[in-house]
Amino acid sequence: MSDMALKVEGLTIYLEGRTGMRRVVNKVQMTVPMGHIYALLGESGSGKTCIVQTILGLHPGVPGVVSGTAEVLGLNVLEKLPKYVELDESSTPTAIRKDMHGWNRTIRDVWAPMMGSKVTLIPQDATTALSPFHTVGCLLQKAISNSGKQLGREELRKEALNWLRRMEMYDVESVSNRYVHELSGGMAQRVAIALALASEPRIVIADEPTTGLDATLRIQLIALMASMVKNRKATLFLVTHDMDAARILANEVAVLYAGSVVESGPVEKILDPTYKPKHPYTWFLLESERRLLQGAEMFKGSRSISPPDEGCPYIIHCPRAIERCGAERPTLTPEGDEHQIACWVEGDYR
Amino acid sequence: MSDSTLSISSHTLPIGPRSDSGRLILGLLSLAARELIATILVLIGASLLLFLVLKAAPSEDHLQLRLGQSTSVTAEQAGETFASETLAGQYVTWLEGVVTGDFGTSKALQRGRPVADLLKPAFFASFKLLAAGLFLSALLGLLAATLSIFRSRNPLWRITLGLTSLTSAIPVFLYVYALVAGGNRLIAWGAAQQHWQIPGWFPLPMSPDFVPWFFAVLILAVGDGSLMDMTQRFGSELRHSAGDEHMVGVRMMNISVPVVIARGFLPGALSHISRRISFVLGSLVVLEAALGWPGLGYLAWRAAAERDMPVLLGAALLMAVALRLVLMVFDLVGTAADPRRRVTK
Amino acid sequence: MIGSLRWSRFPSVTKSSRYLGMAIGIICLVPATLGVVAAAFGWLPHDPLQFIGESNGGPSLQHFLGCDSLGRDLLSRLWAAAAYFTPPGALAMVVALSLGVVLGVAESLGGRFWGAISSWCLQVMDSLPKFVLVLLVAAIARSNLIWIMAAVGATFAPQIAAAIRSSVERLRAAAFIEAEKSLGVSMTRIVFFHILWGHARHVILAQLMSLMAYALLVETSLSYLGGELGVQEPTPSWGNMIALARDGVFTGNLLPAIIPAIMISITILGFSLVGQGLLQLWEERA
Repeated sequence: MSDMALKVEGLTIYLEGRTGMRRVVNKVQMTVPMGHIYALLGESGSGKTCIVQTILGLHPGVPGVVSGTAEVLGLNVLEKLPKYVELDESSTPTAIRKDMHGWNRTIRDVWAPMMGSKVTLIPQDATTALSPFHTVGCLLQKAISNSGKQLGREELRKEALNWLRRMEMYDVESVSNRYVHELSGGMAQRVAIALALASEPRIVIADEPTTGLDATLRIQLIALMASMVKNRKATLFLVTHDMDAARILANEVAVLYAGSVVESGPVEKILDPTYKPKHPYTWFLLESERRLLQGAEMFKGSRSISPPDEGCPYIIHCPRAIERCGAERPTLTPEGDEHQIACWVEGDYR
Repeated sequence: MSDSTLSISSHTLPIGPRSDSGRLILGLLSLAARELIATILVLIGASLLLFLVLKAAPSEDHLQLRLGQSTSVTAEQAGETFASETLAGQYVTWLEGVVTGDFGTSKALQRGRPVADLLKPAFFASFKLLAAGLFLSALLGLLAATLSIFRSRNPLWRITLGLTSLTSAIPVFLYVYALVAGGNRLIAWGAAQQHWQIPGWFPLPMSPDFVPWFFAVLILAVGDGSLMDMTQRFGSELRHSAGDEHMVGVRMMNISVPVVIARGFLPGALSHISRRISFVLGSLVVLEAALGWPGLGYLAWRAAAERDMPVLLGAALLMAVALRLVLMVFDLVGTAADPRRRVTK
Repeated sequence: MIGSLRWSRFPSVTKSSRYLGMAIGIICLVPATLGVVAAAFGWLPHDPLQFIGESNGGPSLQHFLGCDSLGRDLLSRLWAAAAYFTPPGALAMVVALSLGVVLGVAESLGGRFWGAISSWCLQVMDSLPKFVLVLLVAAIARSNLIWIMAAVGATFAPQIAAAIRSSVERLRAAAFIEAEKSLGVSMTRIVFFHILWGHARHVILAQLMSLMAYALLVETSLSYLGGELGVQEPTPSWGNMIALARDGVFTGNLLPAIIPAIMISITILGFSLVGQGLLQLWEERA
């Protein structure tokens, strides 16, 4: 087994939209070593959730065309996935033949043995994503027994209550008898974190865990996750648009724009407010945050509208685009220690 | 961690620390009580509606709504006192009789016989037929719906499913006609060719022996659009249940997926079945009338044909009561299956 | 295996196959529509009530589908039956639509009191078996098809109301109605334009299609069973045509019984398929 928890190479995903096939993720490259906390940062619609769902086999809707590899704990989860269409470099697939049986086989053979035990997920919205048919206590007991521990009935119950206490909840008996839809948003999200950690996983994947929560809850949850994950030496793959969460939790960060990674590296280099970013989009992210703190001021040129097929995806907004940017797609190139950037123009931005 | 968020969030929840099963039983009991009251109200409304419809009848008909206390009073006297009462008074008197199991006496079908005597044996015969028909319909519908989801790419299955729709569009009375006309000829032909003996139930519609009875159930389950409706509704329920957002959490925790899908599917499916009962009761009337088998449906049809209002009214009320009770039970089962429905409205 | 259901949130039916279903449904409705048009413009080949051909005559150039046992032209009777059924069927739709809309809107938007009253009315109507109520009306109205179809329409009002209610609930959940109100849109416009037309259109139309299928079923069943409940001879109805010809099986004259049976089945199938297609269109959009 490799020491990489997660290794994604050349992951490209096409989804079937109303108007035809749409490229959502474009040749994403990521490596997450064991025990690290890796943040994937990007705005809404940049393809973050799509990557998570593909890695976990949770894609809503008919799976689109996927190419590339994604190794979870050294096992390529996309290997058995039928390749629907042979892709060449530039062309967009026009039709796919959906092979439900191939997809089912992959789920049964590859994903199912890992789910819930070695790999767990903290969903975006716990109130809707958790099973409505089980009480919190029941769910927790299931998660604990997923870890492979042989515990008696009473021990399981006690352990479940302990997990609720660890999540800084009070009146745990009552909480454990409730259903998820009877909890408040913050409580449900804490329960989801407990569920993800209770089965002692090697990798925890958090899909925007702090979205839609107010500031006090957000800070609580971030602190909770930080202590929980660090104590347990689990790998955390954090997908978020919350830069504070990434800054507090992560060791490494990758910035995603319109389905491509534009910059990746250690978090203290990329997300440090005093640091001069290499990539214009990263600058834009940090600048937005700064201006928000100083009093919002309208400021243009950012959102990922559908990127051109060729060339740099950020070319539409990029103030320093050169001719090459329109013709050729920049690839991630190393810039010093563990720092990679996808930009044709040399040097720091601003 | 601020205490205030927690105390507020636990404050808003009215449910105390009880065990799950205790809460479930308590909740279901209170729901059952509420539903019972609603059912009684609705049934009073239904009887009122039936009564008013009858009052709209030409004048010679409303005298037929004579009450059953004709043992002490002669029929003419009872009719006179009945006619002299106000509309509300008549309704109350009639309802009183109905509640005490007195539906009046038959006017035309079996003159002078209490309607309750006619209804009781008929009800049980029809109930068996109806329950079996609904069950078979639901079973076949579930099968077809599951196949249409899993084997939707297989052209052979799609053709089969298309044919299912086709067979379901044929009305029940045509099925009965085909069964009687075709079945009898086939049996007679086979017996003449010495392939088989003439069975005991030979001229087909004669007796509700098991084989003809089974065919009747099959007709009830398929005809009048039953199967098509079930297949379509079950299919869409299954898709919704399986595509629900919580399936992410369920799959990620390795909880049994079929069980969760079934629990999400059950309440919707039951409500579809209960909506279907009203239609299947209509098919039952046609089926029994066309076959000439004794039962509530046959009774209702004969009563309508001979304008025997007390019998028709009794049959209609009995069906309404049965329908409401089944509806109530289904609702309770659906609520037990899905905790989200237990939130008080 | 069952895990694949997760992906079938997207309809497993392809676009083409759904339109195929709709197209088949519309084709199934063509013969009946032809009959209505022909009878309305007086294009029937013969008078459906006159005894002009020979009894049980087979198909010929004179009589395309032959004659029934009384020597009346079968094709003319088939088409005349369709035409005779149309106005009462339309009445059923009108009754269902008006009752359903009034009660449905009152139930979901009428406030506490009117909401409770109309909800109770709808439940009362829903708790009576449809066919039995129709039987009662048929017995009283002495086989007057207008009254029978009005009763069928009334029994379908709860379905229409349910469609409206679920639409209103969905739009409420999306804070749509509140937003419209805050923009100063009048309630009448919200109800008729945005809820009924904009959102619930497909479902209501689908319900009306299933109502038509059921109305046809009720009419033909009553006419077939006899007992002075359905359409009476000599007025043609597909149901009483079969009833008249049902003994033809024993004499070998199958045509007069089989053709109306086929007409009934394909017309019901047509209504069901069109309704189903409409529902699927709506499901996809929602």
